[in-house]
Amino acid sequence: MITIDKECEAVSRLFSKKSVRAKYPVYVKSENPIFKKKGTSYDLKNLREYQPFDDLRQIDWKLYGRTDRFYVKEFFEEENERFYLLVDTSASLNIFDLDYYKIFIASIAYIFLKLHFTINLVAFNYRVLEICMNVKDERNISRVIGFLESLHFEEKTELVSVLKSVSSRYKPSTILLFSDLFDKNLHPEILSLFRRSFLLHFHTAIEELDLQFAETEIEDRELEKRILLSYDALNRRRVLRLEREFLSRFDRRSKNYHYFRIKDTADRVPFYWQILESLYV
Amino acid sequence: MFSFFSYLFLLLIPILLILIVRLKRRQRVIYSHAFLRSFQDKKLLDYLLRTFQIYYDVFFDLLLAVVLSMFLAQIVTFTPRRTAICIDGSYSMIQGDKQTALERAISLLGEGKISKDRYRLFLLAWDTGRGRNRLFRLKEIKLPTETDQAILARAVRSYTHDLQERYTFHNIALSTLQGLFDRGFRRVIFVTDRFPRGNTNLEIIEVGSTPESFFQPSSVSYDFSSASFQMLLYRFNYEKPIAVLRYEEMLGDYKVILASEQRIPGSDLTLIEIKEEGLYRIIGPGMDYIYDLKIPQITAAVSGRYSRIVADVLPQIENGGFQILIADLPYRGETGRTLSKKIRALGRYPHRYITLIPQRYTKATPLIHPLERSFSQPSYAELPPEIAELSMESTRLFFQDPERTRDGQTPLVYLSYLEADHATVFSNPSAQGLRGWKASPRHSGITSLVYTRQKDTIPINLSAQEFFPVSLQQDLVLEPRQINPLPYFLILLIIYLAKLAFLIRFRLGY
Repeated sequence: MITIDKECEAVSRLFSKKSVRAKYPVYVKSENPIFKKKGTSYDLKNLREYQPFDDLRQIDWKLYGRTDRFYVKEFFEEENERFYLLVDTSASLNIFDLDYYKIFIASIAYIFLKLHFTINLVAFNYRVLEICMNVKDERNISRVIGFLESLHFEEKTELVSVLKSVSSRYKPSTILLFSDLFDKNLHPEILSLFRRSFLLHFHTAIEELDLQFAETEIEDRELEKRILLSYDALNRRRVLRLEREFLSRFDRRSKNYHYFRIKDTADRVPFYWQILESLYV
Repeated sequence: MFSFFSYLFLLLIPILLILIVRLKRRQRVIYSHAFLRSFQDKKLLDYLLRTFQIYYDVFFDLLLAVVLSMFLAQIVTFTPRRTAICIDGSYSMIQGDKQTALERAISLLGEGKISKDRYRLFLLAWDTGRGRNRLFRLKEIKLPTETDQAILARAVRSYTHDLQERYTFHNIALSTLQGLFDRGFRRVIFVTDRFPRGNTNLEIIEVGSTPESFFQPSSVSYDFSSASFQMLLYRFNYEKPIAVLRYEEMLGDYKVILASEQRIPGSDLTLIEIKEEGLYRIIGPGMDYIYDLKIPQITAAVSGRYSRIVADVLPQIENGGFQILIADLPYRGETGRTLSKKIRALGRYPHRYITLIPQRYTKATPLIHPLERSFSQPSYAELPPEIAELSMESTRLFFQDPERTRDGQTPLVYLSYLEADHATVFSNPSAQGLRGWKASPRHSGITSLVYTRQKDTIPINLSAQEFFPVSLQQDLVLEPRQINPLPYFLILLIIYLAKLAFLIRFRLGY
């Protein structure tokens, strides 16, 4: 049963009242003026002659005074930024507490909706599986919850191909990638495909498995392979070193992305606040 | 006996049980291999190394089990297939008028006639320092490659002489040869002058001269029923009648008497009956036996008398250069002068003399002890009580029929003889014994060694077997060493240390 953290309400309310330099994010949907949607922003898109189906209120009366002809002013459409929430549903997520994982995503989604953002959810493993587009308003949170509840965590992860696919298909500006990042091909440079990226790394440290010094069989559900090793002091050191090297790929600060490493025992609320704050950095 | 596989099977049971328990208790976790891929084996070597890291203890346990099974099943014995040749270092080996048995042994060894294989040479001799038999390692004998027999004989004699100088040829205990098997020799050749007849796993090379015919007194006792002395003699191919002489006061010499002699059927023993008491002489081939036979109604009180008598007679005997054996001759009613006269009468005969002492004299106060001790210390005529029993032990009588060997009934308490010119062979004051024991020069001679420490005294007498070529029926089957445990111990130690090293490396990460 997926619920929304009860603190989300307060977080979104407090954040909306927070004094910020600029209201963010507002963006114009397309970079190509031809395809820019007309709207109600202050950015002038076009001037054209009045047509019978046009609203009279859109007639530029000053221009009419100078030219004695009816012209209509068109402005670009303005809307809050759409966030793409990319949800990893590969089998490796089974290591993690899936309820925690889903509640986290649902709560983030709820906060964004509460802040009048539009969210698109994309579930993937080695390919894009399901999408849930254009969710607006917090009253539609049930769509998000339904989407998350329908997920099955199986198959392997191929983050690179999925990110390329999402980038080419939806051209998202900002993504929030919910994943354990267990993809050996993943490199942070791939995130340059997006203007802003938020890596929410759900990581269970191998030390938290509470392994005893004994022979240990580690099963990878994605690869459907087993590694049998003697988890002794020597191998423990080696495992921890490999884990450190693995994590060090994402741990550094980058302009391209914001990185959050989340343990399934951690309090979620501080992450919500940090993510929101990162939006305005 | 279990076979190798039986032992291995038994030893594998606990290892398998441990493996099963380990398998049951194996940790199984689900985790991504994203950063654990390096644990996946790319090569066979990787697989072997990783498997070794997991199962190294089982691997070493298996090795230990295999080595232990080999040890228990004695598959590999680690015993060298070497040959040991051991020379008998008993007193009889250096006896002989022309050529001693030791010289013959050295000659054979030098000519390589005993073994064509490579061998190690030992001498089983008496260790005066330790007071027991010991195997001495000898260097290989190399005789000159001369064809001249005289040169060869001189070399052999020289080598023999060196051996006699360095080692003590006294009693030997054949059981000491077990030490050669214990050292891992599989073939032991024992070069001796004569060997007890019986089963043995030694290879015996007898280099003793064929014993000439002889007879040997076994016992003398007084039979009250027939009122005669019963003298039992053991004959060895000695078919001649035995001459019995009695000392005649009138003549001042010995005179042949008639003594009834009868063979004991089924044995080589002869019984001689002598009616009268007196000083008797039995003439044997190269050896005379002197008996002072007295009807056992006289209680001897002989303290100190013997020593005085010997002291009187001693200078003349020594000057005579004879091989002398002196008896206990004290008896009441005879003066020392008379007795000296009687003994001096023996001096004409260049023979060895054996004295047999009637037991009745020694029952309460043993008087008999190695004669060379009497020579050097006449005052010791009375044996100290603490060594009296030990001295008695060496007087066991041996018969052709081993079942008849006994101590009781016999009046013989000591058999010995002396070669006066060798009296100082063992009188070496520097001979150190066991932890404070030393062979006392006062109490040592050819036929005995006396070990003293403060008040304790242990006399070790030459056994009668060294003088009489009597071979008893005796089995001597020594136990060959089945297995040499030292290499196994070292292998097991190395395996265990290796296991420990890997344990430290893996478990503690050093």
